[in-house]
Amino acid sequence: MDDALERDLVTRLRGGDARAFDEIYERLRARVFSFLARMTGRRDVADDLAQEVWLRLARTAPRLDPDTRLTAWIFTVARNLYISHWRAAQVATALGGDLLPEPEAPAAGPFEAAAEAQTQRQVERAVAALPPAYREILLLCAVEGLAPRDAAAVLEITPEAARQRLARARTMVAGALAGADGAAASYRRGGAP
Amino acid sequence: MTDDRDPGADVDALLRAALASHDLPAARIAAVRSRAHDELRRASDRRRRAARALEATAAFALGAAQVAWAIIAFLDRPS
Repeated sequence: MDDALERDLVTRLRGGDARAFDEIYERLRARVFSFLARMTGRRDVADDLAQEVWLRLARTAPRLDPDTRLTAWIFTVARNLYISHWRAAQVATALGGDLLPEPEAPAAGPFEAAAEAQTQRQVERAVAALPPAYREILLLCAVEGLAPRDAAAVLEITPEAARQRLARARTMVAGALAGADGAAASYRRGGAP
Repeated sequence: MTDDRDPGADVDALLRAALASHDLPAARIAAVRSRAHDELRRASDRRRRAARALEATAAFALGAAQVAWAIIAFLDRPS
């Protein structure tokens, strides 16, 4: 979302414009929910936290600063709610959680479909296995497309620290995926496990 | 020849392709939107009431200052 659109939405939200709320809700709803679902590993918790994000936006809208960076603000609220939830419940995120893709009817053929589903599962597991600090920056930058300065603001770290953490997260997930591919290839060749 | 590509671009592309966006059921989406509209209306009303109260307070303070000024001027008149 470009800066001009964000400013326009903030101006309208400050005035109590429900259509401005609908616009930002449509644009970010699934992204916020996906972020929370992958951080918590649970749909039901992500659902509750996501609802609170949107209600907080509605309650705070008239008091937003005119130069608020809305996307970063919303993801900051989402992250803070996740941290509060994690601290209160001390819930360990389960690997994979309930986010694994539902099986779909094969499109091209059973092997292609199976391979695609397997890749999705491997990526979900690789991301879920990351420590939360690396998972959150990877989700914010690589998946949700936040600018590095916005991600740094969300995470309350310097842009340089964000860049280093992102690079490390990419390396970790790439390594996990390479390991998974290697194991699968080895299995297909009749080797280990 | 050097490779100028972002070293993380491949990983990012893979993640975006593999990680599907999840969303809530339509009924849930509508329920949250409806609640948020109510909250937004209430917050805007509170903001407007606060602004009106501030204006009223400022007007009262100005009136009181004018009265005080008039009393001082009356008491300070040459006898």
